Amino acid sequence: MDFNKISATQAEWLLGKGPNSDIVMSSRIRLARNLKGVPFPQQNSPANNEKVIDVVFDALKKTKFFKNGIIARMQDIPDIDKQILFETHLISKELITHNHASAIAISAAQDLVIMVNEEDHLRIQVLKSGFNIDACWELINKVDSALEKVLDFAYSPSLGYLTACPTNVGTGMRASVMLHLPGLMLMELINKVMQAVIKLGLAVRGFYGEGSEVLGNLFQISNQTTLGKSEKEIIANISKVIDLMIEHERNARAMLNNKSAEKIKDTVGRSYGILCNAHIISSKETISLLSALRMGMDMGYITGLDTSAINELFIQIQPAHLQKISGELLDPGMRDVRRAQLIRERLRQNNDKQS
Amino acid sequence: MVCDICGKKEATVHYTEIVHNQMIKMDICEDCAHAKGVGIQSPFSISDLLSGLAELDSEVSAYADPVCSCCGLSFKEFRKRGRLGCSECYETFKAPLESLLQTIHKNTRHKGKKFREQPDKNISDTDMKTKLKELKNELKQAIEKEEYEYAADLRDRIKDIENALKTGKK
Ligand SMILES: [Zn+2]
Ligand SMILES: [Zn+2]
Repeated sequence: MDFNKISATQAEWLLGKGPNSDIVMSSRIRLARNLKGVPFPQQNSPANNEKVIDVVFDALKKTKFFKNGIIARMQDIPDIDKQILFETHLISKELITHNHASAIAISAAQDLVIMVNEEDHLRIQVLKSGFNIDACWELINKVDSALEKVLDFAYSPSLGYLTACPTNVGTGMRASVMLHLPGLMLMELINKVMQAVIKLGLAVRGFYGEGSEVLGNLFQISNQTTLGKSEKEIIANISKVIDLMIEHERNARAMLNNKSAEKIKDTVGRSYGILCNAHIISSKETISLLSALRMGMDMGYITGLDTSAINELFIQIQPAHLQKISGELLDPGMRDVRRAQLIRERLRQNNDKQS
Repeated sequence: MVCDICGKKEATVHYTEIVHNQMIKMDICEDCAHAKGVGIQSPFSISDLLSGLAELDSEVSAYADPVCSCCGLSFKEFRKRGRLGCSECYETFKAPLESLLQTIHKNTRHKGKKFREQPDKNISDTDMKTKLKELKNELKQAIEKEEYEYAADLRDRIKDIENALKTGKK
């Protein structure tokens, strides 16, 4: 497997399958782990950072998890592919921007990723499509248990797994779920619901970009604290909240369907029309139109479109992906043209396949 | 449109409230919205963490900026970047970190997966008795060190094992 395939193959977590996948796009869990007796990456010497990568690579090769996947040092990866990995949400911005030696391992199904020397020596992540947080835990626990046999982790009985940032100490676990909530947004219920989520001790972020701006009605909900609760308790707590949000979103969609079906159908239809026919389109506009299209599909107003293809478009309309697909650097103006072209092609392919 | 709450000012904030599974649409003025706390608050962030650290100022001045002997990081540097240097730092900066952890996690004691712990499925009675002895020793030490929260946790685990031994014998 090489990097060209990362942008071309379907990632498991984008398939649009799994429980409640009409509302929950994907679930993920990450664990932070560090090697005992070795300074954390930011404080470590360059030579020792290299050594950490060697030690971790040896350990990874002893497990079966990365067969046919990728194990590589960041310095050996072309810039465009680093950007692709970032846009795909497989690696963090920090892994690209910091200036010490680091590495990644990606499983063939792209459902398991390990960042080496990010903020911690190891950041293990598992991603699944749909509301599948238990399956994420099952796999990541297995990976962690396999790795702890060959790696000596920094651990204290009283504080748990020791991490560079005190916000991660304890379980070192962050469980997060990505939700598509157009119904709650249209019903103007979203603020209320999000406030309740925050009051329950969970964090809310948008899917794209850094700031608080939310695009495409996509929200990421994750646990805030890692110390004092077991992994199972953290997962149970977040699952309970997500169950409620799914219920609220379903109620909102049912209400919209009862009261303003024509209006929603019109919005969905117009969005589909623009996506199929535009020749210049910004990523911001695309994301909100794709969100409307997804809602239309999930509410049964539009049939015959493949969910995974639409999910993929959410990722592929970003700058690095567009440039990789085009095979050249593009200025923002050109990107808007290529983006529109890509979307037209994908939607047409999809229609041809169905009819 | 006037505000649903005060009935005086112009309603500029529109949202829907869920009361007993009923969605009620509200149109209220900015002042009433503010009073009700409507609007998405930003989640807990690293800047909150650092402002939490600023509150530690008075406590820290009592220490003459301790330095971790393992990695060379000073507490002052930690405060600047919000990241510790090595796992030993947790020992070096134990006192000021404890209140910080309490602020962040509302807890200071790990509960969860234990490093290299085998799942104790077919654990024998003798193994359990050895474990029980270990835990009771740890409990004694915890009480001596006045680590009450940890002691309570240990007591729970001792009770669990004692119960398991009892039910096993039946
Ligand atoms: Zn008012
Ligand atoms: Zn240190």
